[in-house]
Amino acid sequence: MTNSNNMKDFDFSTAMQELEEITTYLESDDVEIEKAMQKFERGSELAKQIKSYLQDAENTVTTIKSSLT
Amino acid sequence: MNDQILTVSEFNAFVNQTLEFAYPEVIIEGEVSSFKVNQNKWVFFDLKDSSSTVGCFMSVYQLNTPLEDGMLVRVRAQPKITAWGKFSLTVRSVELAGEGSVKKAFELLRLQLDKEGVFAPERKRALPEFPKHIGLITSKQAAAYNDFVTILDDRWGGVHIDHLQVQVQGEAAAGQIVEAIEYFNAHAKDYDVLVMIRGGGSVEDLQAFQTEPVVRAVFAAKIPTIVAIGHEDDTSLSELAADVRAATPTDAARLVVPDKRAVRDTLSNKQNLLSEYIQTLIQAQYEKLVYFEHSLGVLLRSADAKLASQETSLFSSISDILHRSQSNFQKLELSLQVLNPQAVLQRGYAVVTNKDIVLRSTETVKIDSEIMVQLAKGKLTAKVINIE
Repeated sequence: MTNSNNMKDFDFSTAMQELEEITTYLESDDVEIEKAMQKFERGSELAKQIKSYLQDAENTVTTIKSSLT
Repeated sequence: MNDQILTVSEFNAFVNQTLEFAYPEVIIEGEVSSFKVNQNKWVFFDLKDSSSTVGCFMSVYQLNTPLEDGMLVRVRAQPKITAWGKFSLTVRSVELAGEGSVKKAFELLRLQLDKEGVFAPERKRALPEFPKHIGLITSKQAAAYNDFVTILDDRWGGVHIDHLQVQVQGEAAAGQIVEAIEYFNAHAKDYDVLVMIRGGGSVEDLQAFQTEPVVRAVFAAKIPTIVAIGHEDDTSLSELAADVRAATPTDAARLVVPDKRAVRDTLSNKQNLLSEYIQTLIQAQYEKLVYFEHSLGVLLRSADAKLASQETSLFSSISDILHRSQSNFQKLELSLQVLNPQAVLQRGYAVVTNKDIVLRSTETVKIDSEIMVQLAKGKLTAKVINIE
């Protein structure tokens, strides 16, 4: 993972939602160019982070010790 | 014992001791009849075969399967004589015997739970789209565990699975599964989804997932729950009570997490869309700018033309004024020439002064006064010799 520190706190669901909101904003008719540029930059950054997450994130399994068995 | 006289109570106690010694536990198979429940606490039924009948008694809490007259069961029991002298079996557990009974019990429980709304579609919760923390209930020894984890790893990353080891068949299974669900309920806020899986097996192997306590525990799970038991054709009551039913453990993994390849494609599409939107936006702004520039040009040119016309009219006005001034000047010059005293003198007139005062009448001079006569060329001093 290239930026593991950032990725540790990275929340995929939140990132996807934010990206979705940015796309919806840019899709709308009422857009200010300056704000749109900022949002575009943020969207590109998010897309990069999400791709990196998809590339690098691994699953982990912990077997919980219990008194059941 | 021959001559010993016993009280009735002593006799009953003696018989019970003997029975307990001889038959600490008996397993009897028979058909259920006259089944009834008293005060929601006590269960009474008769067990019979083609020629004999024996009464049975147990508590509701010990009964872990629905019973109905006509079902074939195997009971684990202790024979006893009651204080009223009635012989009966005190039943410890009931096991369904024969597929007919199992199906019948399954159907009874299904109907009852359905009536209570345990399978109602409107109470089912959606699974989160991108789970981060999964609770997994299964046996690590089962193929289901490996299938699930393998498919999960292939499809998605960044998920943490907490696995609780349980037996997925046998007598202890149902109790362990219920406890496992209760464990995850107690830590519900830490989990996004609860997964309960077991691979294929015989009807008896899958029985734990048909039991009322397990089905009710699945129904009461505080975390959105997905259950996959057995093969595709098996539908357990636990699956019906779950928020989502998966056909197989592999299918469960597919339903729990998205496929990263598909998400990556969606993401690329989104990136393209973002670029398109921003390009369109920039193009629109550029066109606006060009339009402004054009408008400004038109405005400037019109202002320029106005200025030029004003300039022309200004020049023409000034030239008019100059022209008029020049002609006035010429007129004035002409008048001036006419009025020039020198010109008058040239014509033969003279200016006469007495002590620098121009004489216009004889009243201001006296005889013998010296007066000055200015001619066109030269001056004369004269003496007045006569006044008329």
